[in-house]
Amino acid sequence: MTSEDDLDRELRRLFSDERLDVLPRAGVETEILAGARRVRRRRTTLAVTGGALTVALLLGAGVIVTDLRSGHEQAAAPPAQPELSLSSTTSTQLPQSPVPSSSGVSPDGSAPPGGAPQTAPSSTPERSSRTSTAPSTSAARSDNTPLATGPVLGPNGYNKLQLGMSFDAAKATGLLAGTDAAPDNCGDYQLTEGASAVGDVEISATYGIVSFQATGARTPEKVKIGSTKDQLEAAYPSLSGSGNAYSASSGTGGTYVFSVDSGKIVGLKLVGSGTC
Amino acid sequence: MAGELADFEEFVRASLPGLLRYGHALTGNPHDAADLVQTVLEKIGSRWTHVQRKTGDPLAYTRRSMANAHVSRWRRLRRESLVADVPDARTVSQPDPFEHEPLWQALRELPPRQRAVIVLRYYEGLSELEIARSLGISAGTVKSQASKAIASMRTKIAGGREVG
Repeated sequence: MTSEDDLDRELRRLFSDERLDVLPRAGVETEILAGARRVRRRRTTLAVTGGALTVALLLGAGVIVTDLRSGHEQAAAPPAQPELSLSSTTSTQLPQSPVPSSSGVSPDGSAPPGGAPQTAPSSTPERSSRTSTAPSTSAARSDNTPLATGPVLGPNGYNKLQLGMSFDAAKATGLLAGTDAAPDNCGDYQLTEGASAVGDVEISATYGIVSFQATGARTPEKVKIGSTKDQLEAAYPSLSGSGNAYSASSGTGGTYVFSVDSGKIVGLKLVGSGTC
Repeated sequence: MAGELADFEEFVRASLPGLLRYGHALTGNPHDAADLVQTVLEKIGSRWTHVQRKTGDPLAYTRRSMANAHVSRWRRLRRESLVADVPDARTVSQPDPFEHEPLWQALRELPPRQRAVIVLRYYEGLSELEIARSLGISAGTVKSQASKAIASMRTKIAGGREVG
């Protein structure tokens, strides 16, 4: 009969057996590299929701002020007053919103909604092409989501939910919906408040919260879905990436991952160090 | 990004043999091992800078990811197999080098999580607490899974010997 020690020894012997060696298939390194690029692209190409389109259009009213970037400490702070008044104006008078015609146009000649300038609208002429460039205008107009005053997906998380927070701790905040089942290995959870700011919160049994997928929420640097590539670059000088996938450190261990399509941000995620 | 991937490429080249071996121990066959290693490395390479910076030890991180991926993949496959064809690498048959090793056979028949616990303990030499953290389960579960695994391996080995 095998004693405990015998079995221990046998297992160790087995695991150091050279027959465990597996020869790598020729060219597999190249395949893995290509695969890594593919995964990166896929991960950052997030779905564009109706809400995102809404936000994209509203952003076009010219309120994104990248110069106003401030420290991360502002992440959870209530929006500044000037933004509030601006946004309420623009969200109700969207079609008439005056925007400087020159600076709001991106280099490729199109007029992305987020490409609006940093200047305050005053005497500049109306841009007539606005409605034609923005999709789903009717749906968007019915939505009164404030502009840059929207919810903030901070450098560590959203509201009380933080990257790395265990499922139990996250559940205890009461912000997560459908928490009857703990993640097996990994699980996606939605917020009880709805999906207007953050769509999915991905929680790993091992690493706790590993990502937040933004819908309407913005970063403290005022970048959100619908912002232009130019705004993204202005907001994050240390931006890395290419093509349609970019990322920037959130400053405190997290990373903002942006997917860009046709010059506009179509996906925004805050990810931590753990993976699923 | 190019530099980043060059660095990752080097990591892949250097760690591939060890990871394949480890994958073999985890999955119980070379095909699944290769598959598991490739899937996990692709994921890790896609966020290489991040993994390097945050974990400090990409190799250990890769191994943990493999253990987790193996356990959860098995779960998923089991669910999917109810409705779809599961591509099974084992149908491409190749002689199992451990065909005549009762312990290997017993190990192979363990449920993936029990097997992962055993591999992490005896292959990686991790403590119960480290295993618990790696697999995202409690230390109590590690203990119970390990003792279940050992008991069932012992039974199988003993049974095999009696039969012949």
